[in-house]
Amino acid sequence: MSPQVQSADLLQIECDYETSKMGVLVTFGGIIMLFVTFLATFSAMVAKELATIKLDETTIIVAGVTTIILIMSSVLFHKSYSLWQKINEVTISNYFYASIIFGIVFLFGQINLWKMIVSAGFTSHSNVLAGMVYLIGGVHAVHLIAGLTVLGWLWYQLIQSRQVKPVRYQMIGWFWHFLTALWCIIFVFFLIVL
Amino acid sequence: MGKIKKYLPGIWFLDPPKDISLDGYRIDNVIQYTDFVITLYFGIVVAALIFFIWRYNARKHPHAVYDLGNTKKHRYLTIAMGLLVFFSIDVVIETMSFKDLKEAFWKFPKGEKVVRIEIMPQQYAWNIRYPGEDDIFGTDDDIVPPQNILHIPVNTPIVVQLTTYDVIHSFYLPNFRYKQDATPGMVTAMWFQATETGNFEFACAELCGNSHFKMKGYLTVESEEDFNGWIAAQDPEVSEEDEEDDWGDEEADEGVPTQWGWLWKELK
Amino acid sequence: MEGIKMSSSKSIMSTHIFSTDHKTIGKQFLFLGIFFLLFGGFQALLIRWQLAYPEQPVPWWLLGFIINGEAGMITPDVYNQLFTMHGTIMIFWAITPLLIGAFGNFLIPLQIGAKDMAFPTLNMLSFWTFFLSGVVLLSAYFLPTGAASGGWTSYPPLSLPAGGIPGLGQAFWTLSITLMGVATMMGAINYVITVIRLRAPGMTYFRMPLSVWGLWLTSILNVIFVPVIAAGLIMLLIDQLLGTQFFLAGRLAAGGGGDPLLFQHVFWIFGHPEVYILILPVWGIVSELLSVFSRKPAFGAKVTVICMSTIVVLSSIVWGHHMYTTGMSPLLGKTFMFLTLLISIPSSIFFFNWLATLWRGSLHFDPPMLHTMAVIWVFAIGGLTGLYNATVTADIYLHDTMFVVGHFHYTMAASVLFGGYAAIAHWYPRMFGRMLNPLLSKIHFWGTFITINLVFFNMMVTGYAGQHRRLYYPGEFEFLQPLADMNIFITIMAFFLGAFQILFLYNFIHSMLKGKVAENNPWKANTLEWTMDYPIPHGNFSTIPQVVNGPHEYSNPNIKDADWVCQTVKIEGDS
Repeated sequence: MSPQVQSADLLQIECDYETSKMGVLVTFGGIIMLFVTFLATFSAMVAKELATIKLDETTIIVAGVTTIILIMSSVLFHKSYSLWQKINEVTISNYFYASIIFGIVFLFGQINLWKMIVSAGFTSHSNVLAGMVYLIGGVHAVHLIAGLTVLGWLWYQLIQSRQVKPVRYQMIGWFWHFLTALWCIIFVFFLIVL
Repeated sequence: MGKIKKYLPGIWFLDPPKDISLDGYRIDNVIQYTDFVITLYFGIVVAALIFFIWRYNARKHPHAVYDLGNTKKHRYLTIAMGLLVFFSIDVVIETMSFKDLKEAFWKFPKGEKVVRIEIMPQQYAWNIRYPGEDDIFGTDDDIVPPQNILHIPVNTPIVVQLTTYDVIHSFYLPNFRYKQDATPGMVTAMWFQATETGNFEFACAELCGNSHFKMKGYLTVESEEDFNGWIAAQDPEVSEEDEEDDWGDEEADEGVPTQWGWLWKELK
Repeated sequence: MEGIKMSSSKSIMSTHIFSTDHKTIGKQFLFLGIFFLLFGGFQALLIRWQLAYPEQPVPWWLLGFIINGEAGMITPDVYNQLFTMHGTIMIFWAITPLLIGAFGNFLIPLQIGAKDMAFPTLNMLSFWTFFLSGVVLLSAYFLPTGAASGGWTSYPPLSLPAGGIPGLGQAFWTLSITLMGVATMMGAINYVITVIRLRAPGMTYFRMPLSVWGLWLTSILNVIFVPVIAAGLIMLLIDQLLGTQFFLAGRLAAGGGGDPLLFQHVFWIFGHPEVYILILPVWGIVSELLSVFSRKPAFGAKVTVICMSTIVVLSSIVWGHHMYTTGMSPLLGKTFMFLTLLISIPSSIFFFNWLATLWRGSLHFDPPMLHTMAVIWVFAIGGLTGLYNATVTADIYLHDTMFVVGHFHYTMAASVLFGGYAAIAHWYPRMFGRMLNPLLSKIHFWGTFITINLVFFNMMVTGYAGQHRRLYYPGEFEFLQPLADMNIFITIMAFFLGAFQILFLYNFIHSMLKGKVAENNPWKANTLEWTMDYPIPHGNFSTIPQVVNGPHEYSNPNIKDADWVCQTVKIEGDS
């Protein structure tokens, strides 16, 4: 496990990729623990029958569509990354823009979804389960907005034709895929529990 | 320590409040056993420390013995020490505690002679309710004495169910070595039995706001005849304003909640 | 990752304030921690004043003139704010920066032979987020209704607006701890990765000093459990500010309603590991220093590490022992009791290893060693008295009494304080290039040792005698009136304890300016942080050292003319 490189400079460079990767993974671990706690609390509330929530089919379909949009965004980002890797690591592709746009569309889809649930009569004040749904979605959305900010930073770097370290592009991609996967898990969890 | 009590102000041990309960001695016993073994182990640690300081200080013992302590023998020895501590302290108090819980604290009494009481603390006062003649809670003939006044008959099992009017409180009976939280949205239960008559206090042990420290109740343990006489003298379902209401807080002046009794819950 | 940027501009901003050098950040944490330690300690003295002399105004030497109240008296709401903020500050803003922030930052890269943390910028951000969280916490004092007063556990519904505490104090409390959690996460991720990735060649896991082990295990616990409390606090915060009802039930919940017990579960799932988060660095530092000052290898170092790791795992499944009186199901109560008691096996094993390290050693009673031995003493008491609280029946009586207060002050305040003082005394020459005055250090040690025991032990005694926690005026109860003398005695001892800390502060500042200039390795220790000249440059090592020894090769018979050898020097004749 211990790095076997003698020179200090070499050590730093050698560590660069692996260390970043590990840092990102540990951060994911932290975020996962955050959501595990939310979901466990949610399950406890369901188990104690503190409230019930019943969603009609349209809501579920809309939720499914927004989920697919987010998955699309993730896939597009991956495409932009592989294209960027193939071509001289400077150019910015349309996939990249599409990915950002899909991400924003997902956020608006979420807001719309919340509105639908509220209009079905489940407000955060009257129903703790609905409150948890908004909370979990909201915290996820905050992470998504953070992800979008980083994407914006990456976009700025790319249009300035600056050299971006491949590991950064890749790690931003990981974060984006991670948020997508997280949302999929949350969505499936809601479907099963509700 | 429990028995050897010399009272030197500020240095030696103070008595816990007088135990007037049927089962409080069990808790005292567990505490005394723990006192004994941990004093023993702590004594060994201190003795070892003093010996090492005296024998192995640098002046007397300038060259340390190189010993990594990583041979098999060393490891078995340390693990044996760990297990020794575990079995001599932990297993014993665990067995005692489980036995006490099974035989006393979690074995709720059943039968005719049980006195049932509902207690609902509110911020800085105790509301107490007896079922009245029909023995059913939440009916018109419930007895609701003035706030903070709790009477119980001696030598009779008392089962208390608790919930709270506002925040979390904890029903703390120092003379019975017992406490039980009252949490919003749920009913918790406890039972105890007095062995002596007299006047005692009970308190709220969970922080419940600025006047938490004043949240005091008066417990009267009396003979069964006295208790029945006292019950008969109470008017059913009249929530008198507490005459001793000198709290001086606006919160307490919200008044006494009415209609708060709940149907007795059958708890396991 | 940034790599190390050697900035050419040596402005004060970049070298002292927004520095990315782990040593500077460590010192920043140290100063901030000491500030909060004094602040929290001052609050403790006010609490003690009120418990001993409830009817007398606070005297001027306790800064009575800034206490808002009737004729200088502490009012109940001020009193509740005092103990709430005392607990919060001591746990999250004093101990955490002192041990994890200061020594985690200072020691980890130096002791494992790294040039800096894995993510230096993140490290700097961690400190400044932490600083910000402290500002948010303290700014609550400027609210017209004052700071939080719902206890450091902040149980809902009391901590919600419906619980009757006016104003935004509680929300500030929740927000500041959430921010503190973010800062802690940044630091913890950094420590975990640094240890995994940046160990010098030859520095295997079991060649790491035990102090690094303690800090590393702490960071792992932090990464896992800080998000748990963050989730709970986010829910509490929106309950407080937006009026949701996750933790509200009963009459206060207008419609729907949740469950206050959920918060207690979430809080203690984090809260119990937090105890170990605070104490693990001390265990590591004590294990390490015992070896240095006994001139003898740490006895069974590997077993000690395995025991600490076992405790880390066990600590995450025992939270229920904080909730025995909530009316949990008998089966759960028994399970939690059994799991809790299991912790005593690994604890007693490594405790035995500590004692065995002293056995046949050559003990040098320098100030760091004195503090280290004091940790053995206070931690023995703290650990053993934990047995009462782990036992369901004993805890039914002792829960929420001063006994619990005394117990956790022994484990968390006394042990951590002595561990922190040991660490400061030991690494002070590396941090500031000078030695602490040994005479003042020894006076401070003995004064602290005697008074701290009299304070915390007698707290347990009053608890055993029935005094429950968080009482503004114990004399309100007849059964507590005999304790008045004892409470006065504790308070007087607490004042002495406080006075001795002033002595430490004087020594700390005075030695920094005028202390004896330290040699490079005053304690003749093996570990890597002593190998370079003071001041240690940004980047620490000009070349990354090649490690060939474990950290505890003291008195190895193969070393000629010395009883120690640096980790980088090969011992002739050693296999």
